[in-house]
Amino acid sequence: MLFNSFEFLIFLPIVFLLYWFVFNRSLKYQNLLILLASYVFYGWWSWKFLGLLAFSTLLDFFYGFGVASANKSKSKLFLWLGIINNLGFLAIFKYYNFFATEFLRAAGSAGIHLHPLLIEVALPVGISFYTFHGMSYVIDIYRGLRKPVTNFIEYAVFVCFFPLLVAGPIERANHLLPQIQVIRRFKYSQAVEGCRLILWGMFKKVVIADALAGYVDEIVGHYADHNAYTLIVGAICFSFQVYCDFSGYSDIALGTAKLFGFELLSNFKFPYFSRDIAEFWRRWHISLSSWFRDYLYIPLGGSKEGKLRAVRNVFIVFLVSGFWHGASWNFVVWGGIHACGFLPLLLFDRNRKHVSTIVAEDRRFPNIREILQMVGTFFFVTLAWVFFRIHDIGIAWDYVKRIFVGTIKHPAQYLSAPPGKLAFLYIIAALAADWYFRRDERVLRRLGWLLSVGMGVWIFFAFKRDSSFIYFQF
Amino acid sequence: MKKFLLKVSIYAAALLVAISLICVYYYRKVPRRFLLVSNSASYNLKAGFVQEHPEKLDKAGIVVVGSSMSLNNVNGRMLQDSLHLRAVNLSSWGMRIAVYEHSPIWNMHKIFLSNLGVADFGAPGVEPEDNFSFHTSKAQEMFNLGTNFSTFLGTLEVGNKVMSIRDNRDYQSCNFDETGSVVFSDSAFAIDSVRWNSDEYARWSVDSAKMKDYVRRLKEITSSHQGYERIVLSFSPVRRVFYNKKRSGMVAYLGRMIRDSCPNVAFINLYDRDYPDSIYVDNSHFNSKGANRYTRELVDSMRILGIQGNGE
Repeated sequence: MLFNSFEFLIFLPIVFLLYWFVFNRSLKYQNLLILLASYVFYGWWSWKFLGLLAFSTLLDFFYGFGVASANKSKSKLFLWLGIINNLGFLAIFKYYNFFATEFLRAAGSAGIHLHPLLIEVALPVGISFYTFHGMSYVIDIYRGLRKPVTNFIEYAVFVCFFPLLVAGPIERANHLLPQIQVIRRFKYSQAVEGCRLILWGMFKKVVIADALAGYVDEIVGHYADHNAYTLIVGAICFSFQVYCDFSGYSDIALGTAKLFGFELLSNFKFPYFSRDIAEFWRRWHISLSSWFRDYLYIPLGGSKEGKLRAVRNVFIVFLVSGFWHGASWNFVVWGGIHACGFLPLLLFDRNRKHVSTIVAEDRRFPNIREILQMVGTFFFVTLAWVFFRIHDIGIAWDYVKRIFVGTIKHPAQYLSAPPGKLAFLYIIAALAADWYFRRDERVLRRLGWLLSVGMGVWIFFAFKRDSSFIYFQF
Repeated sequence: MKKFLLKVSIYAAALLVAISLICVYYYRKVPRRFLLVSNSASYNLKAGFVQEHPEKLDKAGIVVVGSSMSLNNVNGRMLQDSLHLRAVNLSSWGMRIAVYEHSPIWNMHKIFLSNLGVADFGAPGVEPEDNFSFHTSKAQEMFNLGTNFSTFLGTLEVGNKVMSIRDNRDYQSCNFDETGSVVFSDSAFAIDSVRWNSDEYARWSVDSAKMKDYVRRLKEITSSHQGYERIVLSFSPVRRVFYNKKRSGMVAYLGRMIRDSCPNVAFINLYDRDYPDSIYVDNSHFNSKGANRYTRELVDSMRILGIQGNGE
């Protein structure tokens, strides 16, 4: 079930009313309803993969007890079982065909013709997210950060809570499980805030991202017919499409969770106001980047074991993070580009320069230096997005090359008005709203009645039945 | 909780009122012969035409179905007069067999004519909202309008434009004649310069897989519907510069496949006809001279097949 669907429009109020009026008597009932609703939500897309979800949940639940064992070697064994098990699901369902095809290609170029068995099933939606939930759970127990959950329903809710099941945010056991283990009481302010977030997320997705998708598809689909100016516009449009699409999804997830009395981790904090790549990654898909930081970068030694090790670790994290997005080389290249952008900051110890504050936190506008930093970061990120959007690396490279070659050959093209003026209106609207809210993504103040109804009407009429979220494919 | 539910209810009510007002406002601007049943202005107008003249379909002896090859290249009025059979043309731009293969029209006791062209073996340009039904209820229409508003606005714009054109000189004219056909003007004004020398069209190939798929669907129609009287398929020629032997061979191959696997389906291959450029408005669509000449040939072939009415 998609958030931007009629099914969800019916599903959400029904579950909400049942949750607060019928199943509100005890924690057990509340969790049971959430679990049932989550399975219906997931099964709506494909009931066939419900078994996989349940099996994965069950295994991690039992591994948790093994990992908590006082016997060190037994604990380690179950930890590795948990990791291998979750990575194994990913390897089979997400990466097997990719590796089999690549192997076939390599063998073919060596003159050996093989016929590997390919898996003819669709990628289970959300597998990258719920396997990461499971892994973080067993690793946290191994590290002594938490004790295993004894109630299976509670653990199952943690893994498959429907707002975050298919595209995150990737929650941590220590953050979400304590909320699952206490009875939720309705809070008016929290519910209103949730509704506002849902509305704002829908607006970003349905109105902005879907409108920009039209420009992006046209420009990328016929990129060879366009000049450099249009190609830049296409890349910028995609930057905002992917941002509004994914952050819109996250807002809806956060808002929906609030309606049920939960607070989820924030996933975005105005990434396009970042002043360098390091800050960008502290603001973009935060739940994933912090997951990789805590469960990959730090275990590898982080930056504590010398510069060379730190460089290696940064590259590993970015490449793995890229590959996490999809079984395709273009995602690896995308991760590699970001690693290259991060490298100078790491080498000159400037990667933690903008850790806690947003740009112009105590001012209305940024200064010239900050503007230049933000524009520079944005253009770097935008060029990298080309490799994210176009799966064929050769075509992506050609796209970027045409931007630079076209600009050098025909600089006069930039004297005219940019193509796709309407797209810029959407982008400016998204930027203006972000700037206004930039001190806290989750506090949508003064969303008055008129504006709320106007946004709702706009969403309704801009709605497209066949539009999905970009991150669903991951 | 009460306060929250009250606030949400007021919001939902306000939203519903605003959306309804906007829907009603735009619905009133819709041309009279226009139903909101698909993403295509042509199809929606045709649906409106049929609903406005239901007797045309009921009393028709011959029904023309298909894409613009059937809409523009077959002169319905001439077909009707020459064969002494009442004709109705249900075709619209971009309609492929995939769109109408499950239509209930195949159960009607009528002769069906579909004129094909190279473009018919591509993706459909029509996506019906409610399963190819010309009998859409007002509620369904309002639902279609409300849930696909952006498509609707585009269709409305085109629909209003084409309805205002009276002499069919515009390339995309949708002014149907009494049978539902649209015959283009002979004026040079009607020529579509982009399509006239379309490189894309020159590159289009009719591959055997697409033809097999077409035949498979046709076979499905003939095996699951026994009501129809006869199905006649014809294949339109193209401008000389686009003609090639390979395509000609493929069309002949299509004819053989149809004859071998679809009983009660006749195939009239007119692809190899060498017509002058002066009767085309683009790579493959005729102007009225072309449509008349082509329809005359079609009628001759259909008479040989024994298709002729008694004038009722």
